[in-house]
Amino acid sequence: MISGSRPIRGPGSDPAEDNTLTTRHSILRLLALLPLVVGCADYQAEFVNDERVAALETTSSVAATNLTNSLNTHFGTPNALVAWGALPIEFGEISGTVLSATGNSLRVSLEGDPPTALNHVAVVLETKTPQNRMASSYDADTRILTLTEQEAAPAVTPGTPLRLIGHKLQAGRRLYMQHCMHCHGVTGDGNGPTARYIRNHRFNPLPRDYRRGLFKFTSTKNGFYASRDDLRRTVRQGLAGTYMPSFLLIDPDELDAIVEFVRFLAMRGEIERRLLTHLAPLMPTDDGDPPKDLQSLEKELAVDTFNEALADAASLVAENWTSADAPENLVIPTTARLPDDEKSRLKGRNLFISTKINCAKCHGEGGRGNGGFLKDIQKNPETQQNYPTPGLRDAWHKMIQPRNLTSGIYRGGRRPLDVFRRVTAGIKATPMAGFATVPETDRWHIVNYVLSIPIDGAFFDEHGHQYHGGDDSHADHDHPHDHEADKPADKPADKPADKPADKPADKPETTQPKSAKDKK
Amino acid sequence: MSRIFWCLFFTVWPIIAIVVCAISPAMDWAFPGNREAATPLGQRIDDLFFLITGIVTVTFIGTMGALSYVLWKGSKNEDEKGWYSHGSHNLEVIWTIVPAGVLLFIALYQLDVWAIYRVRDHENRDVGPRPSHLVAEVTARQFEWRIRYPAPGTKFTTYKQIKAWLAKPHAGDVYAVNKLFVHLNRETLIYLKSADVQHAFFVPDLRVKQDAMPGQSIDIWFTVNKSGKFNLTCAELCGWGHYKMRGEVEAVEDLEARLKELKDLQDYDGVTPPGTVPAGASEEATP
Amino acid sequence: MTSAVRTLTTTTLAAVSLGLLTGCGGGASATPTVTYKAGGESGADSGGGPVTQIDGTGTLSGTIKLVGTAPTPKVIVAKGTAKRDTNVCGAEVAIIDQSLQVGEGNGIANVFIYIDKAPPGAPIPAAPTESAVFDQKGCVFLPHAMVVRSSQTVLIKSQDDAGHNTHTYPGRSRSFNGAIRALERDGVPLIYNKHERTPFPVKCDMHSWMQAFHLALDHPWGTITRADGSFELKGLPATELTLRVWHEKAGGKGGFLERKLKVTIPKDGSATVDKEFQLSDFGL
Repeated sequence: MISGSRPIRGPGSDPAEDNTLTTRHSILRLLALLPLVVGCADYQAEFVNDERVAALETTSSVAATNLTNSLNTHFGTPNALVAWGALPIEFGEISGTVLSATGNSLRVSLEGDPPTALNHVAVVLETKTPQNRMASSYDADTRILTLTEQEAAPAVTPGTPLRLIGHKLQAGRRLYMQHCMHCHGVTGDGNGPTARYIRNHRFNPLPRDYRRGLFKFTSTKNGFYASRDDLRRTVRQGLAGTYMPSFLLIDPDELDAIVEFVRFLAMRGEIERRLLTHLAPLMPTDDGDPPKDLQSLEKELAVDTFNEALADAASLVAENWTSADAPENLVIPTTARLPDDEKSRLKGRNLFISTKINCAKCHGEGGRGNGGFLKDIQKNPETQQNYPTPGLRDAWHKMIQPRNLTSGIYRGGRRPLDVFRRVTAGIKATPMAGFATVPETDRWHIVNYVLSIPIDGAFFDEHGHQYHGGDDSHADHDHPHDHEADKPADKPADKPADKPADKPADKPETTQPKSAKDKK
Repeated sequence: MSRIFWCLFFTVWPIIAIVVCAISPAMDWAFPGNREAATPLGQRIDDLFFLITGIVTVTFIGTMGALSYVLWKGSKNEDEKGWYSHGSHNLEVIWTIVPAGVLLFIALYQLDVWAIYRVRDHENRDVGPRPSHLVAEVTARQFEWRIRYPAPGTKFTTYKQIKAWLAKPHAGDVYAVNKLFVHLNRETLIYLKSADVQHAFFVPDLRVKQDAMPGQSIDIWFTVNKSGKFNLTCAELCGWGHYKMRGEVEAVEDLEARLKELKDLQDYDGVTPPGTVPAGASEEATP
Repeated sequence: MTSAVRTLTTTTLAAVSLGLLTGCGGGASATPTVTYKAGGESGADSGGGPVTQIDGTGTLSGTIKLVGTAPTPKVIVAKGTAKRDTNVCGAEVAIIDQSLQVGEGNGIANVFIYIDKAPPGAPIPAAPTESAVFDQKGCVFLPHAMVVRSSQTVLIKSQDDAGHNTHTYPGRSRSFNGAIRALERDGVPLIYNKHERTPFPVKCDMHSWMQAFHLALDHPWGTITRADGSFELKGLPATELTLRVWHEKAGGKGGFLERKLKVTIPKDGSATVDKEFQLSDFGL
């Protein structure tokens, strides 16, 4: 009991004391009002700038401001998006004609099957000089489109064509915030609130940072971006073995909207990046000092040539994304997969360990992703400095390990076509190169071999021991002396020895072609 | 005045509760989706549920009615003094034995359902699934369901074979994610694993729920006797994505054919159109 | 109950219910507005007026030298001590750091000298039809620095009996990451399809020290200095040009030694440029 406060009396006590509230009660009352203050704070989603913008701000605020302003003008904010026509994004466009106009209400006839919710989409009235307005609401029954501007839309005669732009972008943004933002971040930088929980394992891939426009698992040729189909597939099927889950049950229209928004974020990020490259001479030096000739550089880069750089960035980005969807840029084998028999797998194995193409140097003799090249220290291509620790890095400078082919987990898909694509075009943004100059038959041998490793084992491990897929305790550790495995390419590998004989009762009956080992 | 208020207060809520209970089947508040379970065992579980609900409702009405009456009667009498009771042995016996009897009855009545649901005997083929019923291995992971079917045409005859199959990948296995095909009108056996933390395989329409424990392969078996698609959700908090860990279970007549289709898609090499690949499926990958 | 407790209870209930009602206004689920911005706005310099043709060409030559003594280049792989691919890497000669190569007379090799944008009005000669060759031997790229025409085919070859890969990091062109098989003599074709503003690194991921620098221009006016630091650019438009001087070690990590070197090329004549740079310009 706080001294100085009076105890509460039960009913029937002195009425004069009933109406007295002690200090304690006042404090409790105030605390009770806390829910009003704490409440469900409205989460304000905002795009975050690239990390380098803060450094740019210290030397040239003009450049930083121009950069952020131009991004704002051309992409907007998550609550006020901008649909920029220079980008190859399907914002969701509905065409129509104005039938009559009164004040800010237009009676329109829209083509196709417009979605019911058209609030806050952009309305482009194709008058002599196109006018941009915003829709406040649309009533499908009366076909009245209400604009948000209160003043009359001038010079809108009946028959003026109009376009409603942005419903798909809105849907994409809403769905992205709901499903994707918590890992991939509001800006698509792979740094959402839950991304930090993925950082615990050294090689766990982090959520994709879209801002380079690079996506790993694509069906396109080396050097091309991811197609819409690739992005759709990644969202639908997930990436096996990573934290990217499968959204199999999502509605196809919603899936399309999400993919468009992801491309929107990727393009925004890439344009920001390219503008930062253009403004790179204005960044502070390593000692933190402003660069020499700051004034003239600033005038040249941040003022005179800035718009040109922006237009250039936009056209490059647009071209990159458009070319990714062109059918001629897909990797399609010209020959069918060679029969998946022991001979082919042995050929694949020999190619795999051959130093002519050096697969095993990264993927390891046993395919466990622990090859010798991992011991080298790589150079950062952006700074020409060595990375601090040995190992391979991806385009985001994160440690990356070659795939452990014994795991049976294929992030990009386990179809023979998918593995063929990985071998032919490589994996974008990683050291995995495209082996397009290896003849296609050889590539199919490698595919057959790779797909057989989780089941039949990789034939030989670093010690020259044979092991039977999965159950192996030798591989994976470092041993003091290196085995230089220069097995000549055409040495016939021994037939894998008999497994401890499978009792007939232990083998399920199957009507399918048995694995290679059963051909005895 | 306030006494009448409180009497009514405590009387009206039980009445509302009873009314809601009574109309809930009609309003579809009782069971998700269909009011009827899609498995025979599920239907029996529902019957048990309604039986217990019935017993409890009767008890509830009885006790609440008595309590309300007593409150009402007692509140009107302001003069009567309370009297001290030394207890009534008879009353104590009655209200111990009767509930015990009811509970004992319930316990014995449901033994059979429990046995079928939870106890299976590998040797005794009258109870439990046969190895030939194996359909898939389902691995729960954050935040999806990874499914592996044995090669179409595989028939397991012993549990040892199943264990061997579960232990590692085999040639011809068909992989899927979030979409599980099971038999219609035939016993289905599923083995449930977890790749990381505890999850729970919950298909409400089938009245099937089983926790997935990391390190264990737990068998689940059921027979679906209604065709259709059923929601699969995770029922054990497994992380920030637990709420979106949804999948679909579909009961199909010809499971073999469906798996063969999946296998053909999985074997697509970009050039040879597999016999049963539907048009336009070429870029659709299986994980 | 006392009125005190009653007041307290009512206040709490009111506060909690108000809190529940007012909160969760649905910020993230509110519909965002969309404004439209037409594409195709020209950001290019409006440049109005006709462009005067520049006729006549001239030559530029000169040297780029270092002031002071360059440090001895590090030995990356001593002869015969490679850990992997020992039959090729460093098998015949040791592999030495090529990032700062200073030749006789303190001339700096592999400095890029080029014009960024072709001056308006200068007729640009057609691109060469033959391919440029980018080779590798002993796990070292040959040449270490190269200027090519964008859209010219670069053939990547290998004299090594071991697999390599070539991974390019261009600023504007399409990137490339292709494996090069052992003893690749036909050459893997690679094209930089855009004009590049700065030279960019080309690496081998398998052999981490292997690095070269390429520059792709949409005109022929770019070159690199020879081993003795001398260079020559022929056929330059006879006007005032702004040259860029770039080296992979400038500022310690790749950059311009000089970003705006203004030179006037006399018609049918030649101009000379001799520049000297300090060790500190290379971060040393």
